[in-house]
Amino acid sequence: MKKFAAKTARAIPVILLADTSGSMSVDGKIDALNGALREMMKTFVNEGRLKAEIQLAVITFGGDRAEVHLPLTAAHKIENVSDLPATGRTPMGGAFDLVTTLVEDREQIPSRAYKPVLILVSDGHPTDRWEEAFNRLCSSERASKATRMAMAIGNDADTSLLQDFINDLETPVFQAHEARDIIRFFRAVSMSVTARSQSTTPNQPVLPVYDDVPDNDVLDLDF
Amino acid sequence: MAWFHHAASVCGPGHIQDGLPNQDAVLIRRWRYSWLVAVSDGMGSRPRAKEGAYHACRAAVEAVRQCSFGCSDKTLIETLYRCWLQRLGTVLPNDAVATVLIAWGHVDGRIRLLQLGDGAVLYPLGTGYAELTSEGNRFSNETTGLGISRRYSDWQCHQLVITEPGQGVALMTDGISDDLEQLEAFVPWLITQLHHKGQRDSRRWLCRALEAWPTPGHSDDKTLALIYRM
Repeated sequence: MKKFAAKTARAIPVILLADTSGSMSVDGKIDALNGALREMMKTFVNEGRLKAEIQLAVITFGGDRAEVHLPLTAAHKIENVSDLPATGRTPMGGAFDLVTTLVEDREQIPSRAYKPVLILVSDGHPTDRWEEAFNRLCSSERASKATRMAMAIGNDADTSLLQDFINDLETPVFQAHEARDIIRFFRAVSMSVTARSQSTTPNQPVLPVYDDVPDNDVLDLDF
Repeated sequence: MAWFHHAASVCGPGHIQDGLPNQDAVLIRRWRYSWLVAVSDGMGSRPRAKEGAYHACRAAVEAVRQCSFGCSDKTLIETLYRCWLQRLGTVLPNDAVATVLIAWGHVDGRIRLLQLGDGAVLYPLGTGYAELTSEGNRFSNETTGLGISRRYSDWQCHQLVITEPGQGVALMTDGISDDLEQLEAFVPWLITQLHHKGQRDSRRWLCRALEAWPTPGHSDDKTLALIYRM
């Protein structure tokens, strides 16, 4: 039977849509995001290969366009991901199009993969024509089935858009008011995803639990 | 030419770890002029999944006994579904959701295939083998079944004739099909491996192979049934 069975575990794709607009450079938000992302990758590497293989992709939207910062890669194979920059506008619609294309691509995410998790992180309002791209995401055959989570950073984030983005009413938009909140969010998401990867029913969402972050683990940044 | 069959079902590591029973079911019946192979996978999240799968296979037997071989797909499906609901008695259908895959054959080589939900039915097509359902837009462990589906269009139906020796049909639950590669070569290889084994030997061989499933992290129950002409 060996020659007929897949040699890799079924994947849980996790796709981060990260706001890298200029406003993220203020008050150390992008530094906190980079730190939290590094920590999440480390968690995935250490704990994400038991029942399912966690894969991670990072799509950024900043400057003039959205782009794939990290292609979908098995977490244990990720090496040297450069820090996310923060510059320019907020082309969030471009990120919606990129993630829709990625999830619809059966070569990259085959049918034996578990439902993907999309995580949208933003501190502002989109500056492109995001509505059509968002509708394409929500009406696409496969991407519409993904679990969608969101974090609003600071008070200027478009929370009503983020509210529309999420599709799990038990996991409302997470509000980050300071750097430690970004870390808390990513830790909770990491634990939720790794719990799924170790579960016997990896398609069932695991509610994130937002633990407190110890004081000595918090960057001294407020926003 | 004669028909030969083999089948096995093993509990997945995930269910063993959780102290749950095998929630797949398999059944093969041979009659003078026809035969039936049925495979079912109880939906793990449902409390009566094991019963749902058990009754799905038996409902298939009742359905083919009530229907003529030439009846319409819709009649066969409705009969099977009604038999399943009847067998459940007071158990809520939504508590016993199960997939159902059947191959109903006539000794002259005609075969009818039906599938509701995930898993795979492999059948000869041209010089190779085809899968009854395409992977479509689903993800792993995302399925429908008896107890959820109310639409005829959820079912995949196909009819074929097997005339050549060495050709057959394989039915399997998603614990196998989701991790299966080289579909074209799988059934001929299985036939070669199993043809000279007796029923007890073939079942033991299949159980061992399924329990030693090499895909990392596999956790599902695994059930495979094969019927072929030789």
